[in-house]
Amino acid sequence: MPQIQQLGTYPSQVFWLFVTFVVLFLIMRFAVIPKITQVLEQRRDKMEGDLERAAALKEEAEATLAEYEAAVASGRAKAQEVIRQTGEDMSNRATAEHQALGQRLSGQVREAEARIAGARDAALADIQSMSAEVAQAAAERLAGLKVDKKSADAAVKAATQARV
Amino acid sequence: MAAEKHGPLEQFSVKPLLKIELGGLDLSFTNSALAMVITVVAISVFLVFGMRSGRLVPGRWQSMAEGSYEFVGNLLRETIGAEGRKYFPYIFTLFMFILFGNLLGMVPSHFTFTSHIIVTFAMALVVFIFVTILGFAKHGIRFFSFFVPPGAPLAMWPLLIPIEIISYLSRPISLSVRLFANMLAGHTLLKVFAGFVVALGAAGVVPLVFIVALTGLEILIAFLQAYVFAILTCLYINDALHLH
Repeated sequence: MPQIQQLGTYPSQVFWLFVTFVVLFLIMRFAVIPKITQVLEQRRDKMEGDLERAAALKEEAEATLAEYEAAVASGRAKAQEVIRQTGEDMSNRATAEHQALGQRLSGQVREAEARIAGARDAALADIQSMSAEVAQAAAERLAGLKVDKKSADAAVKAATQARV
Repeated sequence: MAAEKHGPLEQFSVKPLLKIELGGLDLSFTNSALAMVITVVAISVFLVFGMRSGRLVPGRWQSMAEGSYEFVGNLLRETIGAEGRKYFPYIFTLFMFILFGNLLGMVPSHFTFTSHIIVTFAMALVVFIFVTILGFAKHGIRFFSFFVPPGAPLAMWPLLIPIEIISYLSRPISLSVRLFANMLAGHTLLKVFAGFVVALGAAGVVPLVFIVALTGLEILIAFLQAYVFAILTCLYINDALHLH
């Protein structure tokens, strides 16, 4: 078996093994491994970067959606508020106007009543004074009595009061 | 000697191609040395040119180059853990050197330097010395506690400690003989069956088919032995780092 018989070749085999192995080690250590490491890291960074960007975009989209939903909700709330406010205003104004109208009407009614009362009083006064004159004239003509105005008035007043 | 000239073991003989003598030592450049140089060139071409463009999306060649890197990287991570990163260049070189040495040995008439016990033993011895120094550097005198199995009763120590020391010292032998014997046996078997093909004439088809199957098996073994050598080295480093 040459492996055992060729003892003389041992130094040469070990020497060349050492030389070639060291050369290979240096090539691997300083050229190949850094290059492969760099490529793999670059790829990992790229993938991580892509994933990060995707996550950021997703977050952004979610924020936009939330913003949109908030805007819709606030718009709806505002509309509700406006509707409620308007309704309230309108009912307020209606009651106010209703009240004002009632007041005006009752004022007019009172005024009219006062006017009527005044007119009646005036009419009554006219009637009394006319009755007194009529009574004066009747008493002069029928009885030839001269009745002064004062007592005629008093007599008419007494008569109407008794009647009423 | 004459009988061996064309025998199945003839393929293993080392022939000097260029006589070199240094300080009385015969350091001739032999067919074994040539195979080593070709291996180094092949690995360098495979990895340097495979990674030349360094594309983000790798092609086939770049995938294979990256695959070999990640294969060894995973091996280290699984056996040693995160601190195994430091030893990556050495383990990677070792794995690629043995793998390409074995695989190129499958090319007919190419010398298989891993089929020589002195080569595998030299590699195993370097691993053994490195691991032992690493163990002492990391743990100092406490490294000797590695030879005491944890939880063993004191009465068993006189028996167990010599066994542990012997098993530790036999590591370079088992590591080197495993690789050497696998390569030797595989190549010898192929050669023997190749001889049958010629000797049997028309019936030689049978051993020919067998050789084809055996070649496939040998390629698997070429890979497997490189893997075993690398993973055992990793385990030894792990032992030195963590003792038990």
